[in-house]
This record gives sequence, structure tokens and C-alpha cells, in this order.
Amino acid sequence: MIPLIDFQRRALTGPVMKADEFDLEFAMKVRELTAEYEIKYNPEELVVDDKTADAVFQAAVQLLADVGVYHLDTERVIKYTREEIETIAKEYRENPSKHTFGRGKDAVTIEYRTSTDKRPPTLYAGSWGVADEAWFTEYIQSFAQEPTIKAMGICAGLAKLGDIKPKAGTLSEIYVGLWEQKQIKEALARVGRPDMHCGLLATVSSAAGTMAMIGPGLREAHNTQIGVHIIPEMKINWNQLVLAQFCRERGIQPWQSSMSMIGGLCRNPADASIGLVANLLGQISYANGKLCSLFSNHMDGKSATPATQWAYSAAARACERNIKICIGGCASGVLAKTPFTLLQGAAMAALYTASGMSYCWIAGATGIEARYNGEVMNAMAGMDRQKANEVILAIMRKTGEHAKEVKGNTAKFPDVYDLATVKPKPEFVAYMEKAKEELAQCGVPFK
Amino acid sequence: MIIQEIAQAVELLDKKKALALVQQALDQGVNPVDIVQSGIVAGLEGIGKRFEKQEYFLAELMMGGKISQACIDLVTPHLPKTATTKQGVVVIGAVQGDLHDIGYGLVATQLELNGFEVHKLGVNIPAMTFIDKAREKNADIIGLSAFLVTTIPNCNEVIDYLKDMKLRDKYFVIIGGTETSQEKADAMGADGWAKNAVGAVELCKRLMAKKRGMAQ
Repeated sequence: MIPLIDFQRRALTGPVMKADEFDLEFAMKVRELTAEYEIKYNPEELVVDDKTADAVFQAAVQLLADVGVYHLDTERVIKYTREEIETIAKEYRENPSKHTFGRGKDAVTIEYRTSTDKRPPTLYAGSWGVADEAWFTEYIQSFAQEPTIKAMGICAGLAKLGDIKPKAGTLSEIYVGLWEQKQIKEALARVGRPDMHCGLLATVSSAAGTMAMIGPGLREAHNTQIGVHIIPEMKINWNQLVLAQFCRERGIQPWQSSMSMIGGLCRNPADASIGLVANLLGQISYANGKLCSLFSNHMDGKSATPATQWAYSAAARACERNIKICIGGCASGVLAKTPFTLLQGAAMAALYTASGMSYCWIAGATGIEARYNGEVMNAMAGMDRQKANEVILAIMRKTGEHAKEVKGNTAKFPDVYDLATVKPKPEFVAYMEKAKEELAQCGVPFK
Repeated sequence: MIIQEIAQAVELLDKKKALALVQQALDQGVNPVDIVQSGIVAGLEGIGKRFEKQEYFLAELMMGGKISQACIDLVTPHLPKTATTKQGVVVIGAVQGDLHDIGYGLVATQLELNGFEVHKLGVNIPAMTFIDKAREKNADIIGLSAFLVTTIPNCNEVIDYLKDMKLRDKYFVIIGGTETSQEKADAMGADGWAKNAVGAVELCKRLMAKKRGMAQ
């Protein structure tokens, strides 16, 4: 491992470069490596094979060695040697990752798994997006009350509390953040799971605000993660390094996530898969975390297409075979009053399961969707790659058939849950059951 | 003929050839305004079309911007003093607390490709820096990018400073980013919002047309 303090030196002495020059260098290098390692996107084979996965890993190591990580504050490049990157990957590979979150009866251990592992990924699914203070607590509760959800990867945030809008780096950020922590505790108390893990801090994003959330009765080492993730593509600032140090000192598992956008600096899924793994390698070099979430989308925001799925699978399988870190995924789409709402996320959950994912940190827009996505992951675990690929393609075709129903049918949490009982409304349950039937027809072997 | 060759060299991102052709055209006494409008700008339009067809990507847009700027720098000393090669001046960046640079970078590049003079400030930019730069560059438009719920209020802050400094009427302010919307732009008193880079270009063109209309 590179000592964290050494990033101070690297950030202050690396080559000086403007951000757009770095972007161009990244984009041209990733293209060169895609060609050199003959990495090709195949929309008919979304669960990627071993050879392609290994090529993606090798290309990612080279990408990081060639371009480094850009430090936005110093406008310098943090450089690595190829040997340093290979050593980091080897150290991870020789100690497959696992970490226990929560405490006592609410504890759960997330472990590295493989694409053919019969153990399903951990359902580590929380609420997400922007909630309203009128139903914030019930929204959290909808997840926490599901017995199969073992921990929450994230909790939703507020855009406004009364008249106060949370503003990063100011008192209002802390004010709203503290209110959210109190309500999360309330939701956990209601369902008798007080020591459940609550995942990534959402609304609070500044270093000062984050540190203000950590303390007895608020977020502690057992129930929180702090974001130290790289900004796509390959950029950090002092915040990430300072918070990585803070996590280390406080025994907090850092939140790592890697994202590459198709159509931006990465042209296509092959480029994006390399970018995803290079971003991951960059952040484990300073954060040394046990988990990392992967995510790819297009410039228009779409994240459930064959192209994004392939990029995810290629990167996840590259990590499965060469780094052995716990890889996570985000399997959710639009919350809508149609079976589409579950089908879209289910295709992702199925693909991620077959690609070696260890945990799903977002698995649907409500607690009941997460429950059903968990059933999909349980069913898909251990399935042969070719068979899994056929099932996933069938689900994606089925999802496409339902896509036109979404217009005019999008919903918010109170539209689909009864706020008094915190139970899903019967018509929403019916959509889930209909989606489950269709998933079974696609070949998902529900247990 | 040489004008079309310039357009093609720019479109094909051949910087060396484009610069050589521009110099050749100047030496031949070709009207410098034509070199810019029918050569360089036409080449940029070609780049934009290729981007829409997904033949080109963000890197090509960035390269196109750099090549065209180098060509325009070569032509500028020969332009008549009254000639203008730009649609307008935009100062753009991600507001304080926000580190996301791909989105605003794409908007900036698309604006450059469409003839705007763009000053990219970077990420995590304090409100007053936007205003200082806008004053320094005599900007027409201030572009604010915010991807997080907690950084959107920092867009309001820029507008509040402009109002308090009696500068609000001097600049158009536009916002963008994942969690922003037309509704939020209206609520904070911004002059516009765009969903994506193409929309941002259209918005800026509309605002500049409005400004020119007001000036007449």
C-alpha cells in the first residue's frame, strides 16, 4: 500500500496540467488501450467472459499508470508506476475483501463473491434520491422493515427542511443532516433494528458537514460509510484524501464508487469498462476500502441499457478475477405504477448477480421493490453464465415491452405506500406480482 | 475551394493542415471573415453533426474547440475592427461545493463549437469568482452547474450577489445539472435552464438574440 501521507507529496509535485488537457489525455489513452487489448462490446453477451474481463483489468492498470489521477485543487497529476498498481491489486487479491456492518443482532458481513457463487449478493438496499420531510421517516422505514434487507446502502436526502435548504459547507447542511440522522434512528427504532447499518451519508457532502455527523447516537463506525470516491473521470481533491484519513482514524469503512459515462470521455462500453476499473484502482490506492460500487450511464442519463450492462459486467468481472474486492451495484429505475418499475431493476440485479456482485446498495425505489429484487438475486445466484445471459436478455426485452407504459405513470413514495401503515398499496403489490410472473417466464428460477 | 478545405480539415481534426490552410488563405488574400464563417465555423458545425451521429465524442469536441481557437487566433489580426466572430461571451463553472466537471465541460465545449467565447472556471467556484470573471471578460452570460441538492443554493447565491451589487441586469444567468429544473431556475430568478448541452446552446442563442433585440 502507498502510505496515505505520500499523496500529499504526489499531489503537490506531480506534473502540472489543466483539467481539459488531462481529460483529452485520458480519452485518447483509453481508446488506444481498448484497441491494444482488443476489448469489444457484444450486446448479445452481457455477462462478460473471463478473457475479456482479464483484458479489461490489464488495460485499466495501464490506463492508471499512464494517466494517473488528477487533483482538482493543485491542478497536478498524481502519478503511479505500473508496479505500484500491480502491488495494490495483488495485496487485495491475496486477501479477498469482507467487512461487517451493523452491530449485535443487526450485524451483517459483506463478502467478496464470484460470478458463479451460489451465495446471493447481500441485499444492502436503502432509500435514495430526494425525499420530502413529510414522508422521509416512512420512506426509510419501508426499507428497514423488510427482513431480507440486511443493511441500507444509503438513505434518501432532503432538498428542504421547513424553509431551510441544505447548502454544502454551511450551517444549513449540518442542520438538515442532523435532522435526517434523528429520523433515520426513529425509523430503525420503529422496526426494532436500532443498530442496522445506514450506509453512505447522502445530503451531507462537505468534509466539515460529514465530520459533524459522526458521533455517539449519530453516525458511528458500525453504521456509516463516508464518501471518498473519485469524480469521473479520475479526479479528486483534498476532500477525498482528508476524508480517507478521517475514515482510517475512526475505523469507518470508506464509501468507494466508480463511475464512467458512455459517450463522454469514454466512447462506448469497452472504453467505459476500462475507465470503471481504473477509477476503482485509483481510489483503493488512497482509501483502501473493502467495497466499491460500479455505475455506468449514457450522456442522457440512461443506465439500464445493454451497453451500460455490458460495461458493468466487464468491469465487475475484471475485479472479481483480479482484485477480489466486494463489488456493488445500483439496480433501480423509474418509480412507476406499472410492472416496468420492477423489471428494469430486476434486469440489472440479475446481471450483477451473474457478474460477481457482492451487494446491491440500491435495489428499487421502495422497500417492496428491494424485497423482490432480493428474490431475483437469490434465484440467479449460481446460474451458469450462458444461461444467465439468456435470462437477462429476456428480461431486458420484456422491460422494453413495458417501457411505453411509464409515461404518465411515474410515482412518488406516498403514491404507492400507505403512510399511516407504511405498507405498499394493494395495486402496487399487484404490479410487483405481475412483474414477478413475467420474470419467471423469462427464466428467473424463483425459490 | 480553399475555404472548403479549411472546413474539412477542422471537421477531421487535422490541426496542422487546418492551420497551414488558414495561413495559405490569408496569404492569397481571401477575405478573413469568409475564412472564419465559411471555413472554421463550418468545420465546427460538421463536428457537431458527427457528435450527434455518435461518430465523434467529447474528446473530439474538445479537440475541435482547440483547433478552431488556434485557427481563429491566426485570422484575428486580419479581421476588420468591426467584425465579430463570436456569438457571445460566457463564463461558466461548477458552483462552490460541486466537483462534477463532465457536464459543465460538455456545455462549455458545445458553446465554443457554436461560436461563443467561453471562459471555463473549473469546479468548486465561489460566487464572487463568477462575478469577478464576468466583469473582467465583459461576459453576456454566467453559466452555473450544480449536480447536488446541497449545491443548488449556491446558484441562488450568485444571483443574490448580482442583485445586491446592482449587476443583475448586466448578465444573463443560466443553470444546469442533474437535480436542477426549469422550476428551480424560475424560483431562484435565473434567466434559463437547460437539460443538456444541446439545450444549453439553444438557450444561450435565444438569450443573445434577446440581448441584441434589446440593444436595437
